[in-house]
Amino acid sequence: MVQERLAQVFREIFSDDDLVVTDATTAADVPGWDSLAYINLIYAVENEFAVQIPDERLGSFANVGELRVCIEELSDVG
Amino acid sequence: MADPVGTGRHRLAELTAAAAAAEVPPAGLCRDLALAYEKAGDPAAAMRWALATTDAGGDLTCWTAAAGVLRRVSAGAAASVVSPGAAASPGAAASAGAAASAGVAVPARADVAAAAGGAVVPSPVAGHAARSARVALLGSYTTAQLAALLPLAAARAGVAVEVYECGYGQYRQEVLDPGSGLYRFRPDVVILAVHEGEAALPALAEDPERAVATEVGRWTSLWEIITARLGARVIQHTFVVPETEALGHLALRTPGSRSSMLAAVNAALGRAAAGGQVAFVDCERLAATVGKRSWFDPRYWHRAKQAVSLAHVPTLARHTAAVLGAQLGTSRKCLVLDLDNTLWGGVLGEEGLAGIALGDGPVGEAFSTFQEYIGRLRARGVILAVCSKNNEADAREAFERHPAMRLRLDDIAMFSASWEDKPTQIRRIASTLGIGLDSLVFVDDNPAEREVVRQLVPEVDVIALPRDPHGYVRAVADYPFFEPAALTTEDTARTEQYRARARAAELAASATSLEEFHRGLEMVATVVPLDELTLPRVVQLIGKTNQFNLTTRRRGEAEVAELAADPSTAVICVRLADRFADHGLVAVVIARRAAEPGGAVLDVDTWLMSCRVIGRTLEDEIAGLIVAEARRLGCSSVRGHYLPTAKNALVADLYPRLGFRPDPAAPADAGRAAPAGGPGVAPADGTGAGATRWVLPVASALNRPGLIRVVDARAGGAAVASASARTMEEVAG
Repeated sequence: MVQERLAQVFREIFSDDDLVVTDATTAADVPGWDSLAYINLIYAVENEFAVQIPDERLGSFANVGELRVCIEELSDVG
Repeated sequence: MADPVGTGRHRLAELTAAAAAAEVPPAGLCRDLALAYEKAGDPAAAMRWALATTDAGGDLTCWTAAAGVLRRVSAGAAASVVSPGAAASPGAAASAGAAASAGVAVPARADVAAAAGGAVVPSPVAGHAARSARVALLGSYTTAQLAALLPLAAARAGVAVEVYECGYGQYRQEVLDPGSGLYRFRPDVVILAVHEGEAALPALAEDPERAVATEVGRWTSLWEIITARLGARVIQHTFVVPETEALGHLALRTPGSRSSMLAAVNAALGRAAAGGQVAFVDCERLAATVGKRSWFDPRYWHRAKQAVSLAHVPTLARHTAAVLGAQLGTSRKCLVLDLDNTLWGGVLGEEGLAGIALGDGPVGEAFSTFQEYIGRLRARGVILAVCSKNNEADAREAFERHPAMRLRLDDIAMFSASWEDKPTQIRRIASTLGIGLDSLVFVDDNPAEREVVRQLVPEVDVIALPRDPHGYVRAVADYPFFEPAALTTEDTARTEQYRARARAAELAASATSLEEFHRGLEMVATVVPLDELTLPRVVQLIGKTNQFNLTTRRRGEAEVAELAADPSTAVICVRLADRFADHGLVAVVIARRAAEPGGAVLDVDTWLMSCRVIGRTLEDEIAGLIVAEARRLGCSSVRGHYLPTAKNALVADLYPRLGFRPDPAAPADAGRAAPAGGPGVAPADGTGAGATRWVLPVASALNRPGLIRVVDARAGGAAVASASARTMEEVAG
């Protein structure tokens, strides 16, 4: 559930309906994923899930899976 | 997937049906329609829905996607225009693209209307690009989002723009340096998007008048240079007075409080600019409107130096575009007003003059207040027209005889009351007044009338009034495209005196060259040791610095610590502070002594600097520090590498600029010899092509500008801690 909503946010941010997003996806896998897109993405994720990612975790996500786990912890929607 | 075209059509039909369910479709739907039409190969409709996104509220994500549609569609349209003139300048091409789209806008609209059951089409926007402009966005914070949204917002305001964004926080340097990218761009308009932290005002000033005058001078002198040297107009964002104030309410009666001074600077800037080439976006008012705690989000400030929270960047873009449009003459000129249930409550023809709600009671008061607001628009130059289905004599009588009527007949430039349909009346209003339909804004409480006007006179903007009259004033006030460029000539003449007076007083004290600016910063660079306190920041810089990074070698904490422990390695960590701010640890150099046949060489493995301090001559001072380290380690020369990446072109010429010569001993393809792992390990390490190697004998004289005082605070270094802070001259001399 979180995974699918997260994938939808990615598709919106990168304007790509066909974007496939898995836990293993990293910045290197998505064209256009730079620091600007990352901040826009975090902003959209925080809006979509109504969560606030703690400051210290912001720079810590190695891949989409870690971001997903963080969202699940924060929102109890796992 | 078997029939992508059919699937696309199905998707479009679904979206269009959804849009038909609301008078103003939600922004997400507008965005989806824009993307779907783009995919379906209908650029005019795609552009129209992209622009409709901006009127539908829309958050940053929607706007960004819509801006992407506009960018791609404009580029495609420009490419297909076979006109050498249009292709000559991107700005012209963009406007030609918009015009080309406008050419097919009408049939496309008919299609949508048919598919939607004739219900919903957003206000037309394609083809609004009546003007084009080259716009330079000079910011003191991260303005990438604003830069991305400006073309969309500006297109909505009728201006096709090409945007140039200065380097992070580089606005002052770019204005002062005639060799900067800003001058090469040749802007028509320069937007100074600055935040309050950029105002050089203390928390509490002993001589507030002087502090304010000095600060005002820092900005007016920039305006002078921009208008004189670039011939560009200026749009200045005002400072938002922070909602936190240590002095509490006492701040207001303390002229030296930062809050009081910021307000004074805003006011003084307004006086200094009056009547001139400088326009404002009053961010202080925008921020207060949405709530200052919402406008500024400390989380995103600390994360990404966003001084305007991302939620409000669309609003800022919209208002900046409205002011831009006003400066270029695309503002709307005429407000077309319905009467029954718009200017008064009830239907005049049924309830009679005595029966309409106006003046008394909560409803009557709300209508009177709305009329007063309309009257103020009239007073500052908006043309008023009436467009009503009424008997003309009855309608006029209401204006002449109702005691609570705030608007008078002579406020109305064109009074159209008849039983004709409103699109016909509106066309006649425009032709009678001699203005274009795209100068009109229509206000009506009746959704059906609004819709028919949207459908049949798409050039007219339509403001949807809310159900209750108490919301009318805000509905009209929130519409930004009535923005006036100036008041009357008399006002201009009067304010010109203020302006001249303010300028004369303030210019004297201000820097007008880059060097003066740098001197005025009173910069101090402090060389600090690499220890457990600085290591995390050093590793962070190594991990994320892209632009000023000669080799882009990423290293973890353990690796850096190990390197630093090696006595043949020199690590230089530098903090930079100036009169206004402490920028923290901003530069790192790692260099290794290598014994070679011709004598020991100091090989610069890593050299990077935070983008916060680019353009301040810090690199020149650091070159001196590197040479000093080379001497300390008994090296006869320094060797530098440049490994190109997608982002570090900034420093491609750093070594030759500092006086280094090409390394004669470099292999034919230096990049492949670089010890960085080679292709495939990490793209940022440079893949070889274009890598260069440079040498500098330690005996060479370096040309150092001397604008930064350098202090060595390394224990055991040449100078011990603060006991004798030594200047750069002494350390490297």
